[in-house]
Amino acid sequence: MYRKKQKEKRKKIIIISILVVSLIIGIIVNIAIPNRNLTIFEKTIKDSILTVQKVVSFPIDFIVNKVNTNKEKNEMYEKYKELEEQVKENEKYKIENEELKKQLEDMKELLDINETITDYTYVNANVINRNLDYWSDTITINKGEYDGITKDMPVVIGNNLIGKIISTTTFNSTVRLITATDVVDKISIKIKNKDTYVYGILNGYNKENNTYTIEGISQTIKIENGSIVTTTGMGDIFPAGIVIGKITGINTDNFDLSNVLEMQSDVNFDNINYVTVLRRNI
Amino acid sequence: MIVALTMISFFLDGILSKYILPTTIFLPLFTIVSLVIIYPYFNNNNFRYFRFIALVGLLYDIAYFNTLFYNFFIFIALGFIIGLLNYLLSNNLYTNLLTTIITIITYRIILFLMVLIFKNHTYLLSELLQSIYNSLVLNIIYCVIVYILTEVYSRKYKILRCK
Repeated sequence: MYRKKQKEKRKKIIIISILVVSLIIGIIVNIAIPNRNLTIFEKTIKDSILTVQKVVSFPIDFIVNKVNTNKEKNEMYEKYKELEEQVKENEKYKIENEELKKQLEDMKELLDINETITDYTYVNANVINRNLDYWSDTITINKGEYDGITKDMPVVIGNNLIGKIISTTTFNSTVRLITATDVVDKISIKIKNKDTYVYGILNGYNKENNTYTIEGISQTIKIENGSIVTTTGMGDIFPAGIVIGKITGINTDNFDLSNVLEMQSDVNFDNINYVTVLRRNI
Repeated sequence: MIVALTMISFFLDGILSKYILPTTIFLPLFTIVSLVIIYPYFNNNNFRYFRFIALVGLLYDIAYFNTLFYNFFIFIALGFIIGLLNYLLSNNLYTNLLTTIITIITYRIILFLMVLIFKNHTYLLSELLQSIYNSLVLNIIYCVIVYILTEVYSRKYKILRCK
């Protein structure tokens, strides 16, 4: 009896010790080294679990895709008419594009400027899952180191920035969306204001209004609603010229010294199934 | 049965996260629900139970959170609460529902506190309440379904469990 009690006591001590040790290791690993790279052990386990998940989710994905395809089929005629109009427009842009490309090359040579969006290869990927943690906004995609994906690569939908790669395994990667409220990195942006550009910093996302805040713009500068916001290319992570959104509101800060702008993205962050990773051409 | 139920819940969490948004009231936390349901099947062998949930927590960390020993710690803490509630209450559908609700609320509160303490950002209490509210509906439904299924299965195959 006494021995049994002792044994139970020992087990309790072991559990409590594991709890305390795991808490300490957890804090050290996750808090002290927030941008750490995953270990081979973690990568292997994560890849294995996500591979099984892909197989298990195949029937569900198949049904959901079928439903979506049927929905799209019903809207096809209207889309076709729209596209027909766009094709006519595109012809005009094609010629313009050729000319601009030539000019850009000349300018790059002349000014020796940074990378632009054209220096990147597009890697398309499917979303496997979204974050289970309520407090961070991440998605996992089915492309990883094997496809040349590395940490900090920008992720877009169309030409709209949605986030960046924060960790990679051999066959999968995790993307932190720009809607994440815990984002520490601030993104350097420029706003097209008539014929000039105004530079600022994208500083946080407001969940309630579904808007982003842009700071660092002098109050003397008048910016119109609907102005396009793009990346500047400064900071070496996001190339220049990726659209982030449009200005939807203009306010001033608490001291009436600078403008605080509200911006809305064209991307529906609630429905992300396919994304594109911009892989640097080395 | 224990492993199968936990694994199914584990993968369902990942798959459904793609289709169910954090802003809806149907946030899945099926793995946590499964921790509540499987407890009686360990027949008071707490050490085995804690070993099992610690492993599930570690896999949860690696697969869905990109962290180490984060959910591992939380799951063991939840294990203590589940064990205590099972010790105080008899095991039936209603007490399982109550335990599920308490466990989910505790899980959300611990996550909220960790984020609040360690991340460089302020979060509102209303966001915590919203996250709890969003997590309850679907998981209660899942708890009822899984409880009934495990009851039927354990009776059919005469699997022992503590009452």
